[in-house]
Amino acid sequence: MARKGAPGLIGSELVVLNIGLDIFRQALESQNVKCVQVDLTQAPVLDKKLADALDRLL
Amino acid sequence: MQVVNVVRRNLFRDSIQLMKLSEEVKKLDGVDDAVVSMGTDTNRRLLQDLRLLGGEGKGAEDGDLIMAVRVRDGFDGAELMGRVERLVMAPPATSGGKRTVVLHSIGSALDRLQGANLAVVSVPGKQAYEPSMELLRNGVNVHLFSDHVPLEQELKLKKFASSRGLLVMGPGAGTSIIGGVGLGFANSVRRGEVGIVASAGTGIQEVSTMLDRIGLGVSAALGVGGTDVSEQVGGLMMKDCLDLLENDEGTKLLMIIAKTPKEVVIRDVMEHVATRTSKPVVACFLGLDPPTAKGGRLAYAKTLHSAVRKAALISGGDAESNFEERVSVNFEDLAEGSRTIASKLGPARRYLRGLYSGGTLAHETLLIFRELMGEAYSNTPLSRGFALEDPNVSKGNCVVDLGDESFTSGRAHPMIDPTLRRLRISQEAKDPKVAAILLDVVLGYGSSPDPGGALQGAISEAHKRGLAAMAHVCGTETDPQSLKEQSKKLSDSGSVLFPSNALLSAAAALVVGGDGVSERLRRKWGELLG
Repeated sequence: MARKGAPGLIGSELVVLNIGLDIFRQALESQNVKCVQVDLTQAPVLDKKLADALDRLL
Repeated sequence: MQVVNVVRRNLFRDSIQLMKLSEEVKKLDGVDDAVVSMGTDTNRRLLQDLRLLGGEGKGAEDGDLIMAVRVRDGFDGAELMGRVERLVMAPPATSGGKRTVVLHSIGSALDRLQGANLAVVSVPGKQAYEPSMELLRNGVNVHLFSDHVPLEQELKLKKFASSRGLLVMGPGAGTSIIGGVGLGFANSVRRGEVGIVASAGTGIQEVSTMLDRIGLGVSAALGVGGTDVSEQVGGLMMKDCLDLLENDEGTKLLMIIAKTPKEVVIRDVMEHVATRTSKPVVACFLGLDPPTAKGGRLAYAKTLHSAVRKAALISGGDAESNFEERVSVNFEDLAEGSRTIASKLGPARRYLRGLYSGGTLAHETLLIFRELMGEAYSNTPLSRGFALEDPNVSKGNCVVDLGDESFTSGRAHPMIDPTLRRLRISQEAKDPKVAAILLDVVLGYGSSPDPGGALQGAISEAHKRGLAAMAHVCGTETDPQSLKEQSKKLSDSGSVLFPSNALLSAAAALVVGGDGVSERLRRKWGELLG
């Protein structure tokens, strides 16, 4: 179980948001780390509410 | 054959996407060679070297995307470029047939991924502050791979994180290892009792892989980014990370690695070490003479090689004998090996050319060269007088950091994309005064799947021209690329391999330096390689 804060980071399972280069998500998945890919580059063209709604649909 | 360039103004794709697109375009029927890249100076020069730069491409600017193709005879260039453009404009492909869910806001990602405790952020540096702060506000630690985050933003992020008991590793943090998981460019190393805090990415890679080789493991390796040890940031995160590892029961030995730190910051960090930690410490401040050691639990090392040896001595057990057996080389053997390399070189060959992908390793080589034979030229020189006027053109003894911004603007890092280094090896091989090329081949997560294979042809060609190729492979057997396989590819192409970058650098200096260097190395052996 992941714990919040830096002290919890060293001893617990990593649960990771990868924001940016997809190559790092691939590297995390190859190490069996639970992670999701976040792409913020399309954010300016989408209203935040709309972006969140789309994400919920995915 | 016809060269066709199509430019799309203000169209951005990241360097990894561009590298993959280039490979896809090359596979199209009718394509002899192709590159899809942003229109930076470096990339236009690369296209020129590959004979792929055409009229429209010459006028491209940094923010423009160039599709450059050499079309085989008998194929319709316009029709082919239509296919290329459709590939480039298509949404990014999914990997391995498995659909990857991509989310578009941090809020929705946190909703979806309950318990997220870390984010790896690699967006352009100018856009990194807002998402990083949002993550911290939500209690998520940040590994900030992005470079060029303004210093005042770095300081705000780190102060905020520190006040909440969180970490901001970076900006510019190339490598961290947490819970056995490699972040950024990191190697697959065994878990163990050594905790590393570093402002030097390939410094972590070199030290952690050498520790692995001698049977020692890593509890955590925390990269804090090069600017953490600037006067403005004052080693804020380095000190927080040391506190974290001091309080971690699994960590028995602390290692601190820094590249060109500010002396005032290091004094403060070491004061922190003296008053706030109780565990043995090995510190290596590349480019800064170590402060005087005050206590028995503190050891200073001048090179990464020496730092690992000191860690082995402190750890005891088999580590010391493993180091002697698997890493160490004695002076006589190194000198003999270097004489053998030198004996095969023509008399006009007298210069060394280091072509590095790891910034910390390039820096270590520059320092060792300065100790043994005087300062070398570089695009990242130790002193201004030795700056290369043009980073694309070597001069005298020279160490080039191909991962520096002058080469990576608009293209992938050389650890990911070996193209620039391959071309540079061929360029150096044409210089009749070059005695040896030095290469670091860095394995691990995030790196090229076959860096040795990608350089094989260029190394063989250089070898045939009469140059020596000397290399160090930074990696482990459990890395995705396999240390053994990569070492074999490099050996088969004629490279002489060394178990550490410091040994590679010292051996190279011996090859061109003669008796003077030999005598200096003998005197300094203990501090550089002991």
